[in-house]
Amino acid sequence: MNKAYKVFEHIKLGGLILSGSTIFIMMLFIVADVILRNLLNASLLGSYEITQYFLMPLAFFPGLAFAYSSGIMPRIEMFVVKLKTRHQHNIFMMLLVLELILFLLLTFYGLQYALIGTQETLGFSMKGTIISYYPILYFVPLGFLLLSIEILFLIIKNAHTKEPTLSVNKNSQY
Amino acid sequence: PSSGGGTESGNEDGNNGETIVLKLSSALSTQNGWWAGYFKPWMERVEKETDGRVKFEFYANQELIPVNEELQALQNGTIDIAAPLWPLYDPQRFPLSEVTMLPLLDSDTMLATKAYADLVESDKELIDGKSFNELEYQSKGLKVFATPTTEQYVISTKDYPFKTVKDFQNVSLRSPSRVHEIFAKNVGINTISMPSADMFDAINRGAFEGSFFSIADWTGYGMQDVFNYTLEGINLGHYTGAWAMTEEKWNSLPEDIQKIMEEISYDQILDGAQLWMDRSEENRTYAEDKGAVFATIDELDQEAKDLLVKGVEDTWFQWIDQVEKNGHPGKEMAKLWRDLIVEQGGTVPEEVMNIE
Amino acid sequence: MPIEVFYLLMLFLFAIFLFLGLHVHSVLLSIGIIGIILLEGPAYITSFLQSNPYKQVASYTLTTIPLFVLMAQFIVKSGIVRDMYGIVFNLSKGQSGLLGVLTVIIGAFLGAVSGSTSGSSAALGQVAVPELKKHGFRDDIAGATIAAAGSLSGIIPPSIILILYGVVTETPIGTLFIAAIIPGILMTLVIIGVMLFLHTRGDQTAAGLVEEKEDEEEERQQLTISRGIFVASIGLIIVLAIFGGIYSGVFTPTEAGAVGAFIGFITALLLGKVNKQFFVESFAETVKITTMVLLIMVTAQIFGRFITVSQLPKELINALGPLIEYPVVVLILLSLIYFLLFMFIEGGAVIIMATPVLLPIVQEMNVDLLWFGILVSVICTIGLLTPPVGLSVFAVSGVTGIPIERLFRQSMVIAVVLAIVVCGLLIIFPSLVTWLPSLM
Ligand code: NA
Ligand code: NA
Repeated sequence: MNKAYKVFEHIKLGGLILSGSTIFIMMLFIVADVILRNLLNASLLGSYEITQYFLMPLAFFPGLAFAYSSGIMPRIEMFVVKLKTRHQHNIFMMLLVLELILFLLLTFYGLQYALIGTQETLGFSMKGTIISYYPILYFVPLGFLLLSIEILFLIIKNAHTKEPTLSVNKNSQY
Repeated sequence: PSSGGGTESGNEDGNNGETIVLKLSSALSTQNGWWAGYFKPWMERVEKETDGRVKFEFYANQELIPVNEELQALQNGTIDIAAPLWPLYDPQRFPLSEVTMLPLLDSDTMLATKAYADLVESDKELIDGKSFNELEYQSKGLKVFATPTTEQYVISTKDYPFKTVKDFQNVSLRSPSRVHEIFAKNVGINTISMPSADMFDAINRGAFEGSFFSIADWTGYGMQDVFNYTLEGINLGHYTGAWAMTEEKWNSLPEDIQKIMEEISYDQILDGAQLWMDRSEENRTYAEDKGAVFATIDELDQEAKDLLVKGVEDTWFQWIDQVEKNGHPGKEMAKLWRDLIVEQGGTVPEEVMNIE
Repeated sequence: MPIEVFYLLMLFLFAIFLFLGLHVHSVLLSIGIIGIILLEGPAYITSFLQSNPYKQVASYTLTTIPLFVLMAQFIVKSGIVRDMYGIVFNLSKGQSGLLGVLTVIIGAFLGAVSGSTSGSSAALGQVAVPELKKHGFRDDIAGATIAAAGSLSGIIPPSIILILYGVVTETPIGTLFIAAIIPGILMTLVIIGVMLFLHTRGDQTAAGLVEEKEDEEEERQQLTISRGIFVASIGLIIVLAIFGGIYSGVFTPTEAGAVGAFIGFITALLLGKVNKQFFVESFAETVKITTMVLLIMVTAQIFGRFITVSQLPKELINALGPLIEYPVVVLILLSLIYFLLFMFIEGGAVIIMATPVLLPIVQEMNVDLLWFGILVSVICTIGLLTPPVGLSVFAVSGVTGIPIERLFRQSMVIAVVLAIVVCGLLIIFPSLVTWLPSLM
C-alpha cells in the first residue's frame, strides 16, 4: 500500500507540474497576444480560443488530485471534532465513500463525454479553420479518476487506523 | 423521463385527456429578439390553440443547458425542444448551415427569413438524392423548423470611419463566425477573438476598433453606446438557428398538434423578423441622436468598394471549396441559397450570379 | 410528497452533510445529483454530468483566477509586499489599524482592475494576511477583512456580475459601471469601519502574537530609506502598468491577470529570486487555489441545475405576484430572495437564473432597472462572504489555512453591516446610484 501510494504520489506530482506549467504558459501566451495586437494590430496567435478550449482545462483537471490531497478543499469541521474519535472515524469513512462514488460518477460521465466528442470529432473555428479539441476531453475523466484513486487510498488508510485522517501521508508537503 | 417530470406545473387543467408537457431550453436571454419575437410567442400561441393540451416548461439563459450542448441534451432526453439549436457553432456536425452567413449585397431580415424558411422546407436535391434538411438534420434524427434569421451583419466601429483600402488594412474587428474570418482575410481586415462579455469594455477603451455585428442586436451587449460608425451596403450574412426536436419525440405527438406547431412557427417567424427590423430602427434612431454615422459603401473610394465586392465574391468561392474538400455539396448548397435569396428580392455580386 | 416537504428535506440533507464535515464541493455535488434524480429520475443527470465540468472550466474569462493568484505568488515571493507593509507600519508609528485600512484600499484598487472576486480575494489573502498578522492583527479578522476587500471586485467596475446583469436585462453595461462607483466606495468605507471596530475590539493577546513581535522589531531595522524608495517605486510601476494598460486600452481587464503575473515574474527575476523552488512553490500554490475555486464553481453549477429543475425561483416569484401593489414590501422580499440564493449559489449563476424570472415583477412596479441591478450586485458581493457557500472566504481560507468557520464568524459581521447600511442607503437614497450616470 505504501509503495503503491509512492508511485501514485509521483503521478499526482506530474499532474501538478502539467497544470502549473500550463498556467505559466497561459500567462506568456496572453501577454504575447497583447503585445502582438498592439504592435501589429492583430491577434495572430488565437490565444482566446486556445486558452479557452485547451489551456484552462489543462490547468484544472490534471492538478485536481494534488490539490485535494493538500487539504485545501473547504469543509466545516467544528462540529465533528467535538465527537468521540470512534464516531469521527465512522463519519469520515462514510463521507469518503460518498465522495468516492461522486467522483467515480464524474469519471464515468466524463469518459462518456470524451467518447462522444471523439466520435463527433468536436472542433472549434479559429481564423477560418476548424481545430479539433476532443483529445483534451480525456483529461476530464483522467483528473476525476486520479481524484477517486486518492480518495480510495484515504479509505484504505482509514480502514487500517483508528485515527480519522484526511491525509494519506502527513509528511508529504510540496 | 423527458416530459411530464415530477414538478407540478399545472398538469390538472387539461380535461380532454393528458396534458403534454414539453421542456424547452434556450441559451438566449429573455430580452433577445429571437426569444421575444419568436420562441416566447410561439409557445404562448401553441398553448392557446391546443386548448392547454400542450404546456411548455421553459428555461432561458442557458440556465438548464449550456450553449451548443443542446443536441446532446435532446438525445439524452434532458430537453424536448432546443430553442434554438446552434448549427453555426458546430460546423463540424452541421457543415452546410453556414451558408446563410455568406455575404450578400442587398437584403433585409424579412427577405432572408423567408429565404431561410424556404431552404429548410426545400426538397431540392443537393447530393445523393438528399435535400438540405435531410443532409443536415434528418440524418441526425432531428425535426427542425426555421427560426427568423438575424438582421444582416454589418461593420460597426467606435471612432473609426472607412474611406480607403488602407483603412480596411489597418483595422481590427471582432469576428463572430468562421465565414466572417474568410471575408476578413480576403479584404485584409485583422480579426480579434474575445468573449462577448469583454467586448464592450475592450472596444470602449480602444483595444480594437469594432466588430461585425447586426444593428438590431446592439442592445443585447450594450453596444448602442459604443459604436458611432457603421458601414452598410454590404451585407455580411444572416445568422440562423433552428427550432429542433428529436424525430422520435416529434413523432410521438398527435398529428393535429404537430400541424398547429408547424403552422404557428411559419407564421411567427415573420413577426420575429419584423421585431428585429423594428429594433434595428430604434437602435439606429438612438445612435443617430447621439451623433453616430451610418455610411454606405458608395461613399468609399472606388478602389475600396471594389475590394469589398471582390471580397464578397471570393468568400463564396472559398467557402464552396472548403466545404467540397470536406466531402459536402458546397456548390449546390451555395447555388440554392443564392437562388432563394434572389427569389425573395435580394442581390449578390455578378460573379456569384454566374456560378453554374 | 408535497413539494414544500421536498425542499425542506433537501435543505436538511444539505445542512447534515455540511456539518458532518463533507467538503463543500461534495455537498453541492451530492445534493445537486440527489435532487435532480428525485425530481426527474436517474437518466436526467446524464447531460449535466457529461458536459458541465468541461464547459464550466473552458472559459477565457476565468483565466483571471489562476493568473491573479500567480501574480500574487510572484509578488509575495519577491518580498516587495513584506517591505511595503513594513514601511507603512513604520510611517504610521506602529498603528496596525492603518495597515488594515491600506489593505482594504488595495482591495478596492484591485477591484478596479479585476472583474473576478475569487482571484482578488486569493491574491490579496496571500499577500496581506501574513503581514497583517505579523503587525498585530488577529488572523481571522485579517482574513475576513481581506475576503470582503477582495469581494469589492464584484461591484467596483469592471465586474463580471454587472456585465452578466447587463446582458441578461439589456441594461447598458457602461451605465451600470458608472452607477456602481458610489456604491462601491460606500462598501469600501463600510468594510474599513467594520474592520477597525473588529480589530480594536479583537483580542490583542491572541496566541502567537508575542513571539512574532520580535521578528518585526528586527525587520524594522533592516528597512533602510533606499530600500523603501526601491520598494515603493516597484510597487508604483506595477500599479501604473496595470491601470495604464487597462484604461488606455492596451489590454482588457481579463488580460490584466496575465500582464500582472508577467510583471510580477519579471520583478522576481530582476531581484534574483527565481530558482527551482520559486517555480515549484508558486505552481503548487496557484494550482491548489485555482482548482479549489473552480471545483466549487463546477459543483455549484450542478447544484444550480437542481435549483433550476426544481423551479423553486419561479415558484417564489409566483408567490410574490399578489403583493405587487406594495412595491417596498416586494423589493425587500426580492432582496431577501436574492440574499438567500447568493448564500447558497455562486453569484453569476444566480444572476442568470433568477433575474429573468424576477424581471417582469420589477418592470411592472416601474422600478429602475439600473438601480435594481446595482442593488442586486451589492447583495451578490455580500453573498461572497456568507456561509455556506462564500467563495471569497473559501479563497482566503485556501491561501492562509485559516478554518472557514472561524473566517465566516467574522465575515458574517461584515456582511450583515454591509447589508443593512449599504442596501438600506441605496433603498432610501436611490440617487446614490442614479446621480453619477445622470451627469453623463
Ligand atoms: Na471589478
Ligand atoms: Na454565500
